[in-house]
Amino acid sequence: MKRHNLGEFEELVLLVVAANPGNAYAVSVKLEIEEKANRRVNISAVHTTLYRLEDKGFLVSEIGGATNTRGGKSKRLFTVTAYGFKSLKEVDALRNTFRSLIPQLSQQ
Amino acid sequence: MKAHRPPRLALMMLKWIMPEAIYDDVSGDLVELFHWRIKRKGLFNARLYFVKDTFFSMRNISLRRKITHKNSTAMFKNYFKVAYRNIVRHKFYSFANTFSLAFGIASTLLIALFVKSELSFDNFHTNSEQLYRLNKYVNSESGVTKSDESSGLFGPTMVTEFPEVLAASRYEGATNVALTHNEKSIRIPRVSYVDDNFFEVFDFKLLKGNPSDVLTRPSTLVLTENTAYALFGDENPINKVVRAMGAFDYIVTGIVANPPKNSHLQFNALASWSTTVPGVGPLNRQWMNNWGTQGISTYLLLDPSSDVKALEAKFPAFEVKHMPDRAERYDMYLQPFNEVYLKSADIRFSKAMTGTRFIYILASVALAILLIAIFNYVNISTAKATVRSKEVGVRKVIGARKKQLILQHLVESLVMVLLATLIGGVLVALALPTFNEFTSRTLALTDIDTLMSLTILGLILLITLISGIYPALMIAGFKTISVLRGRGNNQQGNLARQLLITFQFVITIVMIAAAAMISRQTNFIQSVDLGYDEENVLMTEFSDAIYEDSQPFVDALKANQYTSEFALSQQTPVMSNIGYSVYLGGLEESEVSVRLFRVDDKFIDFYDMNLLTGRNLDRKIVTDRTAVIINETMLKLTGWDEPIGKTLHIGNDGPLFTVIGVVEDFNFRSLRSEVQPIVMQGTNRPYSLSIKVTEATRANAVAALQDIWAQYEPSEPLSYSFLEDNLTALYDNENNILKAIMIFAVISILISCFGLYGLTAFTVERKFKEIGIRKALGAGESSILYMINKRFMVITMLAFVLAMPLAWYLITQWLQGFAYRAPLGADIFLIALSVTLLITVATISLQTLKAARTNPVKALRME
Repeated sequence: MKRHNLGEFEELVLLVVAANPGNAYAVSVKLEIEEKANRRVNISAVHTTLYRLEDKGFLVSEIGGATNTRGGKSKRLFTVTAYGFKSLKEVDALRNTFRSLIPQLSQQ
Repeated sequence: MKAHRPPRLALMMLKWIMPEAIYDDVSGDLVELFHWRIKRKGLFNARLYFVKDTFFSMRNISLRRKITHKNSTAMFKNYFKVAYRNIVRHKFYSFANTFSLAFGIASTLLIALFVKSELSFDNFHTNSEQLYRLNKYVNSESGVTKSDESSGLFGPTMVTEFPEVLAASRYEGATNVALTHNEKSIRIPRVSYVDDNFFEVFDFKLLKGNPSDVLTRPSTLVLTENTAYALFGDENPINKVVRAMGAFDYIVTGIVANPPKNSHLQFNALASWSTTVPGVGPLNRQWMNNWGTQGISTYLLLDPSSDVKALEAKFPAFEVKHMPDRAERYDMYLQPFNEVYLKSADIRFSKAMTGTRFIYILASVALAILLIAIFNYVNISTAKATVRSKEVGVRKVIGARKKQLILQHLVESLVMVLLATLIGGVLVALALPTFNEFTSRTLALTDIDTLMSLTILGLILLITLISGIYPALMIAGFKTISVLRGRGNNQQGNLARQLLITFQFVITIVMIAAAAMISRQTNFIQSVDLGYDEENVLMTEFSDAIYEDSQPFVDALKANQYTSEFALSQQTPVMSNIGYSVYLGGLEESEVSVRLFRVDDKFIDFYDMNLLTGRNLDRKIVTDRTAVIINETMLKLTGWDEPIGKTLHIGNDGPLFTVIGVVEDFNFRSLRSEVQPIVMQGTNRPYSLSIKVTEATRANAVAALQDIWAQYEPSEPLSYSFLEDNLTALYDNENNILKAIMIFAVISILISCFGLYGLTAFTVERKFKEIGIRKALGAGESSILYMINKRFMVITMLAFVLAMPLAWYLITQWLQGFAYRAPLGADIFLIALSVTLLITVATISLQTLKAARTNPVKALRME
């Protein structure tokens, strides 16, 4: 498989999905980011990113349950794939490599 | 908790913009957020955010779109394949469809080419937008008439007095002119005297010579290519001497390309205007260069920024200044140069031109033919569609959507229309030479320019859409179950089909009535009593040498038995184009525009004209030098009770003439126009000769005339004609265009027949079993014929009722253009009705008879 680079927002979304196993869908991801990162995110941007991550193979999705508040429409629940976790690790590893070379950062 | 709903419009928008694959997820998310926000931010804000989210979701418009792959190329391939199979399977229908469309398209194309060439008249001049012809309204006792004649001094004076007039170019033609060089002599139809700025104002192409001074000096001559070749062959004509008008020597200073066919200014040679100016050139044409006589054409080139209306407003003062005695009666105005050809029908003495009427007629005929062809298509394909309902049913079961079925049938029409267009193109190419001959035009397929090809392309799409959309919609709307069960939707489209047929019949009946009336009027015009005896008259015009001394020539004619009966006049009667103003004796404000006939004393008897009162001119009576004979129209105009002895002036300052007789109206001109007031005056300077011959002595008379001519004019060959031919030539252009219209009418009738034939074939096919059962039960052929014919008869009658007022209106409109009209009676409509009925019955019976004669077993066994 071709190597994909993760964008900043993509990485953030991927992390949120990984942190919420079993309950990661567009709305929860959006609310989570808004709460934790304190930034406003439009739902459509989350959609774009989620589907793109799925296309790239970082995520898989399945149809979840429908609720009344959703107008009878089911949720699409996302899960991080092994490749997704691997990519997250690689990103971290790469960052750490550089961080360790920077004295101002490597000291706690 | 009360359930709130998100804005419906936004939700619909969302459904419309989102790819199907993710619509459910996305809308679910948005709705969930909506409810979440109601609690936190209130209903209003939630709605607002919902709309905002929907709007932003447009960014995901292409997300996962490719999952719904439609494989449409394969489908299109299938459409073409099925279209091809259908065309091949129903050979007859396809043939009828394609050919009627092809004829329709060909007719439209041909007529479009013709109309385009008519509209392109005179547009090749770079200045054409700024060019105007100086016309005038003439107020006389008989009302207001328009005239294109002006005085030779108007133009040059306007250039000096009005800054917005950049240039004036005068134009005056001489007809039937002999040109002689050394021993060789030719006659050309038209030489025009023009100003030296002619080549700067107009864009006629000068091939040899300097455009700025080629026509400056008196007695200079510019020949057209054809004239130069006829007179000089391959020799270089420049600076050669040619003896021409007035038997003076002219020097050839240039060669001009033959004037394009689409120019209303036509000439075979051009002579410098200075030739005619008294004191400057040898011709001494007083009347072309004074204020009083108005007999020439003036074209003005205006400054692009000038206001035409403002310029016209200065004309009255101009008239008062330069010709105070006429200012009251004249009202000069400017006619745009581009309109001279098409919009001069109402201008007196102006040459007969095709005019806009033919364009309207032809354009409507083209439209009618195209409509008939399209209706054929719609009729035949809706009829055929019921046969194809099984195919539609299967497609629907397999999962074809309505959209796809419509598309499929539109593709099918497109194939048909493209095919028809190709065939139509070939038809046009084949028909062009004949059409050109008929209309005396030089149209070519290469005249089709970008704009026209785009129009054709648009037309193809339009025809496809018009002819295809109804059948397509109808077919796509079939109910799957009933179609597959074999209950064909027989009734569907029946009403529409009958409406279309009725409409077709209306057009056909109008066409037939119009064609019948056109042919009647054409014959009528040729049989109208012209007021004189036009048969067996041999005509010629004197050469310059004979004109100078005509007596010996005339005496020689008198001595010969074949030419002894003749009459002389100053102008050829048919060509006589000189307009004069006369003033009734004793009345200052009594100008009448007349045609002046200068004739000898035998003229009236020779042509067997009827003197209503008074007596003929007589050479022996000295006072007859100042005597005139007027025609009936002139008498009516003057309102004289007792015309004999009344007096009039010819021209502005001419002597007083006494009326000695009134002649019954006679007509040497096109019968489109009314008889004009005519004054006949004696002459001793004849130019035109009419010789009475008989059917038997025609050849002898021509031979005798040739002999005598050769004695007195050795250097120039005799050219002669017969009056009847000249008279028919007046209508040639018109008759040929009328013939073309008739042919298109016949084509439209044929196309209708095609459609009808196809439709009956279909009806018979559908009723094959019914016919079989009826026959088995004892029905005869005639009752079966009646059964099928009945419906179409009703339609024909209905169409006739609708067509009659329309045809009556159109024909009456057309007849308005003639001064002499053939009576429009009920018989024309009866002809149209019976022809239509005949064609209908013949077409239908041809098909039905076949079915009616078939053994009923054959029909009933088929199951």
